[in-house]
Amino acid sequence: MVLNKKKCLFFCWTIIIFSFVYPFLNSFYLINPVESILHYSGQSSIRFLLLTLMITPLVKFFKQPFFMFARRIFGLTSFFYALLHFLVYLFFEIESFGVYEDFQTRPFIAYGFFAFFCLIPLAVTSNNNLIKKIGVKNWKNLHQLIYPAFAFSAFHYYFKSVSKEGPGLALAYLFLGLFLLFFRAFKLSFRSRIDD
Amino acid sequence: MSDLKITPKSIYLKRRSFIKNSFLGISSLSLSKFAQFSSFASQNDKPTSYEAITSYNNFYEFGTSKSDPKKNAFRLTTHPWSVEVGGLCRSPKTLDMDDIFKLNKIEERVYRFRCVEGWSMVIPWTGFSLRDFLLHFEPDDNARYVKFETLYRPEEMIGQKSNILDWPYVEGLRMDEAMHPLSFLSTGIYGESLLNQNGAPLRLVTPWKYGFKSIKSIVKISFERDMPLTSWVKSNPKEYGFYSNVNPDVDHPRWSQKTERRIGEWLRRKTLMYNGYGEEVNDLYKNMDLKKWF
Repeated sequence: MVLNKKKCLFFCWTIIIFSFVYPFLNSFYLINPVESILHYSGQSSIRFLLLTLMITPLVKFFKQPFFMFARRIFGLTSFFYALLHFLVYLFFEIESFGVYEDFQTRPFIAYGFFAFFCLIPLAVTSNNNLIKKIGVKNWKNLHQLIYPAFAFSAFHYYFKSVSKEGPGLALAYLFLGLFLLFFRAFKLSFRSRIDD
Repeated sequence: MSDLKITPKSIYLKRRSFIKNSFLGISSLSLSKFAQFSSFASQNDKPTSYEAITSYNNFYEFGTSKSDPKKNAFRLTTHPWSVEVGGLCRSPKTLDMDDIFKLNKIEERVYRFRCVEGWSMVIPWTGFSLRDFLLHFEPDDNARYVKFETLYRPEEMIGQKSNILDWPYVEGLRMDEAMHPLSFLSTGIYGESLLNQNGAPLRLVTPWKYGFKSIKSIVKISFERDMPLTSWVKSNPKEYGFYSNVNPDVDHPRWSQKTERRIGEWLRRKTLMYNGYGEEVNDLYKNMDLKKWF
């Protein structure tokens, strides 16, 4: 059975809305809201980035062409969580000392910045008009930025988590991302062989 | 021993309102004795909510996330509980909690509490002075340090099944730090007996040091000649020192120590040298290079 566009959209929005409502179900998050928002938005951003990377393989595997919509929606969700993460950091975390000092005392912050800057052009060009304007091929090349964006996010989280909760989850993200990258590389080489 | 035996609940409730209406930082019950420390916590140091104090904890014995201790601490049985005090002293003893309560008069102190992770609280502790407690055991002259140990019981403290630290948790103080009037052994918060997630039934409180120095659920105290190797120093000597005094000028590699977020507030505030207890503890460290002895 091939799902229609409407059902695919419904499915995507259910996931996104659930991800948004979930933290409100637990009052613990309210004790230190800034820390909670930072942690949760960061986690959500990286998870939606992984989800975005998974769409193409899933579409092929389950033969659900309409599900390609999900790639853009999940990608943009990831960006908006990253934006929230970034803004909360700017307004509440660095107060009496600057970003530069923060890079020095906490180098993992720099990785976060790189990840966020990689995501900006992707979010900006995620609409049909702009795809037409810059051309599908350029757009595709530009959107390879998702891999460095993912790598920077994962390392950002890895260096943040390594001492406290342990790097287990960050490593799981990294391996999953690497696996998806291999999948993509394999698929490309396979296709180019056919092209020959 | 029940809470009621220590002080009737009605008095605790009165104390609570006292705390709310006063910023002196010590209860009226012990005012005369500790009049010299008239401001343990200052004007803008309102006590943190009981809910936050008992829900937001670092206690790796119950898991590394700050919500874990409240979730997992119910497994710990604190009755019976005994504390072994020994080492370089004339009268080593093993006491149960009843003995400990009989030895010491309970008083109340409101202290700022600063975690090395950059958050802080204001906590109305009940308990007694560490100095008064230690003197009962008549420490020898060559006892230069005091070493504390937390219970090791992985079937109840499920965080101890993971090897994130070398269990049991060990902390230590230099003798003069331990004998400082601010050093406190706590048995309660807001007049209630300590909850397990806060280190029941007996924990240390050293308000001018980062929170991890305030070791919880103590079962062993010993007087030592040499500086004890504490758990965090053992696990990461580059990041944690024996003294671990609150110091905004010495950063931790993963977070600045210049500011902190007081739980319940949105914006960060400046961190004070020795967590604001400089006047009281400056003399302990006057000839020391604090960048070296962090």
